[in-house]
Amino acid sequence: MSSNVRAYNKASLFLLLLFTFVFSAGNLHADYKWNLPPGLPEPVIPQSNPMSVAKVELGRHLFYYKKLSLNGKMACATCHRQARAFTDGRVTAQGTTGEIHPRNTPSLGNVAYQPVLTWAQPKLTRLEEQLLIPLLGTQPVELGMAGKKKIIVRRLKRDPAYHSMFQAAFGDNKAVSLENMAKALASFQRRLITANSAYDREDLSLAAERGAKLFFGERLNCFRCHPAPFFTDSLTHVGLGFKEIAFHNTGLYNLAGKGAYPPKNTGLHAHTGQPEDMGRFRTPSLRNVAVTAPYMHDGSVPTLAQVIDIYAAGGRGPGRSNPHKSVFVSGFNLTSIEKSDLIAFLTSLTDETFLTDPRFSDPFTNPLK
Amino acid sequence: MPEGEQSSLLVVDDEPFNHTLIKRLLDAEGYADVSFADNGRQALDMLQESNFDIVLLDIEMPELNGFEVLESIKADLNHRHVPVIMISGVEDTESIAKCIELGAEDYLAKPFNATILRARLGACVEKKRLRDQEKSHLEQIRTEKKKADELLTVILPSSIASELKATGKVQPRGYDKVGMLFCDIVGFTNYCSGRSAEEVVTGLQTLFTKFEEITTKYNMEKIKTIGDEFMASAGLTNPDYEPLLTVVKCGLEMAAAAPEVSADWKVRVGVHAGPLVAGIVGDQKYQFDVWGDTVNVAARMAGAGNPGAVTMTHDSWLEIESECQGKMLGKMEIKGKGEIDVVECTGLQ
Repeated sequence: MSSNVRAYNKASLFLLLLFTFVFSAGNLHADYKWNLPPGLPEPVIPQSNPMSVAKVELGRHLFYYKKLSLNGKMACATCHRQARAFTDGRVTAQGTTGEIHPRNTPSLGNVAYQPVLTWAQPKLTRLEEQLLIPLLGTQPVELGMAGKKKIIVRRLKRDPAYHSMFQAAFGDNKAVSLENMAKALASFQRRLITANSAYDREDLSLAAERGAKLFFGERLNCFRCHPAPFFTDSLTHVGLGFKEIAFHNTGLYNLAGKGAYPPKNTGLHAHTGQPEDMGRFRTPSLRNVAVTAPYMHDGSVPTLAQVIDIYAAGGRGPGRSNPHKSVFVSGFNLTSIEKSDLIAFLTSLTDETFLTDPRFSDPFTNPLK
Repeated sequence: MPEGEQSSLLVVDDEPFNHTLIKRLLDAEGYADVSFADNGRQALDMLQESNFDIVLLDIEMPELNGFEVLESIKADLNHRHVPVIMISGVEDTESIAKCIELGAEDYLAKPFNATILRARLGACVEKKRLRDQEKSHLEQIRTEKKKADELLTVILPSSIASELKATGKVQPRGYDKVGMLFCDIVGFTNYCSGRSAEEVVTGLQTLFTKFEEITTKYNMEKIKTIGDEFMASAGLTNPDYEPLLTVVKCGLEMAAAAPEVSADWKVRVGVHAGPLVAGIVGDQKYQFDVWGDTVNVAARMAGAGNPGAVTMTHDSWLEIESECQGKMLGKMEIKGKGEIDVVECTGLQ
């Protein structure tokens, strides 16, 4: 009996040690402080790339680093400008060689909570992988570093400031690598959390309060695909049982009356080939929406008022009868005053501190003290 | 009386015709206190001169437009809480969005509609009323908190009260040398019999108030009163390099003061100086207190002495004899200490 107890004790001690090891290894940076506003859940962070202050700061320096483009003219921040909630204000993005991207630049606010990235890539779930597309992609050329991985590493190694930041973030002499660069950039982007708007502070103007009633009401049904607090139905965070992944066709096109979207922009269909996926795109968050014009995946709608007009009409022109259109885009009546109220509410989702937070700003013009 | 009558409104519009129109609409709604400004600059001047509850502000104006006036109001700490309702074109959604972004409370579209004007102003007045109410409640809470804090510093030594407020508890500490003083009234029980409770307490109040004055003068700390006994310390929360001499001087002054307060009062004072421990006991009723042999000896000395004198051990006397007059009382049996030489101090040299 007593030997059994001893054996049991030994086994439990071993398990305890094992758990301690695994737990501490997996949570090397578990003490990272998010300082999230009350009620906001923590984002899911991959175990292979835990958050750290040093990584986020290195990531910021990489995000604004123009030598990450072929001709030194562009950085990530060229298309993702902080003052516009990390969008560029263009209809669609333009690469460093002038090539035009078929898609509108999406905001990076709360990107850490996105279960899938970009406008319609169901398999792309990790920022560490996604950011290689603008860096190395050729269709279209964005930063234009295809086939130049060694040059990237060489440029970073040559700069002593980056060399020491890599060491601080990853802790060894061989820290400067493409993989670590991607990890740091991903960590910085995950830090881009925006949740301090007038709506969050419960400081809505009377006009915005009326707009909120419309937004969350069943007449307009905006909240069906843009539920609070993230204002998108495409969502993942710590404590969420399963990822909520949603792509919708909002009735913008109906080419040849067959439900088709323009060939380069068919959305989820381009990946699945399923006819019902034609024109389906990820729901963007409406946080900071007032500063991220123009709108839609192809930037084809210039103003919020026009976006509302399209939803009020149940789609745009022939797109209204697109067979794959979401059931929630069925149209509604809205007076001009109600439209202004709704816009007042959407404007109240702007987080001014996010747009000016020095921690997210260009370190070359605005170094942190 | 309609709510509106109590609110003062400032209407800023460059069109005289609109003044007339708005005045008529507001009159009909019972808003009697309405002022008008013809342009933004005049509006800002008027805001500096008097207080308004609501500002109705036209967007399109020469010189300073509505956006600029709104920005100035919101940048001014004294006026940023005044709700502003913008007067805009009906389809001008972009301007409306911009105004909301700049901090406007609401907007009114031209041409004016009486029902909407009533609803918007009513909601604005109500919101301001609630906000003012909240502000006054917060002010009230702050005042109450200040009172509670002040009460705490009355009950506890100020350095102890600050520690309690900051950390929610007070660490007990040991002190190397603190002077302790006990002072009790001779024949208090006899005094009480035959007098009403009010008379007794009033008498004690006068005496102890005088004692508090004396301890304060010597930069000492009153610890507490126990019945007719007054207990104080020197060098506990305020630095004192000669705590024994301080408590002796204080004791002599107390002994002299008592008969001045009432011919019936005579007090005995016992003092001692040495190490002790101080802290707070209790969780619901805080009591700052001191413990240790020093405290016990001082208490015993008060019991051993004569009326009108300050009593101490001979060892203590040796410390202060150069400055005091006194006489030996001889050996006394002190509980827990055995026989000790006791000296009474009758005055200063």
